[in-house]
Amino acid sequence: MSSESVSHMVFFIAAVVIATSVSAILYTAAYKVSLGIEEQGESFKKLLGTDFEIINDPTQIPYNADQGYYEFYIKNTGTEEIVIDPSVTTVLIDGSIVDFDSSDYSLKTAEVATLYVYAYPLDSGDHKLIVILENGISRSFEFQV
Amino acid sequence: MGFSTVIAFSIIVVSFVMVTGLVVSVAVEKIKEINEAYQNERDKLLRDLGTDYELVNVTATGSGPSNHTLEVVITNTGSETLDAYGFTLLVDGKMYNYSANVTRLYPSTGLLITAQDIPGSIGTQHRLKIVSENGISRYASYTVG
Repeated sequence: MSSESVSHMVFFIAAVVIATSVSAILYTAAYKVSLGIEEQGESFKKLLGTDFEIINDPTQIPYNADQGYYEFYIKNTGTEEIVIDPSVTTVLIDGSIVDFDSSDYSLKTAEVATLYVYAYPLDSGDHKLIVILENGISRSFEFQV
Repeated sequence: MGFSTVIAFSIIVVSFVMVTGLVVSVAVEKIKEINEAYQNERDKLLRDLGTDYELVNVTATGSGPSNHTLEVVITNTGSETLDAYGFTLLVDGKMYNYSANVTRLYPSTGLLITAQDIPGSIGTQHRLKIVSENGISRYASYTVG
């Protein structure tokens, strides 16, 4: 009788330990899934609200010959704040990545930043500028020099 | 043995219900936020469709040997109210600050914006670009009088 009670006790403890372990694994997995949902949801929400335009006059792009940069104006036309930081934003002219700096690294709705795009004077004719934000949203702008 | 199985099964069922609740609550919250973001996008699209304006009068008067003062009258011909300081003013490709006589441009009303000390003496021709807060632009040419 006593040995039966002990074996029942052992079974009971083992069952509780196994069930608790399964619950812990389940909880960890669910927690990771909920974190993933939260991050993806946040990222998707930001993606939806991100919009911007390159608002230069395409026939007259200001060029500072002393400093060697073109000035492009970026306007935030979305509902989310956008980041124009050389460490996370990419700028291409005619398909080549170029160095740039920005007057503002963070733009709220309707704000405008000046992009100082360092490049040798471009040949006369048509060119294309592409600005790619950290979340992959890009805008292209065809201009003439 | 039977009691242990029941307890273990109960622990697993209760934890399963809890983690399902956790995942569902996070998912529902994110779905709500994404839905809100979609609604904002729809509102923005409607605002863009309802935004229309015209440059009804552009006057430039010399204000020194090589500068001029520019006055632009904008009429809101759309159905959306615009922020008077949400416009961006470009003259010959360069961005300039301006002052406005009102803060909000209601439908069927006018706005006078004034920009001072713009390079260009009397008789010179210039190209003007105005961009609204949501990226809609209008062009005009003028001669300094």
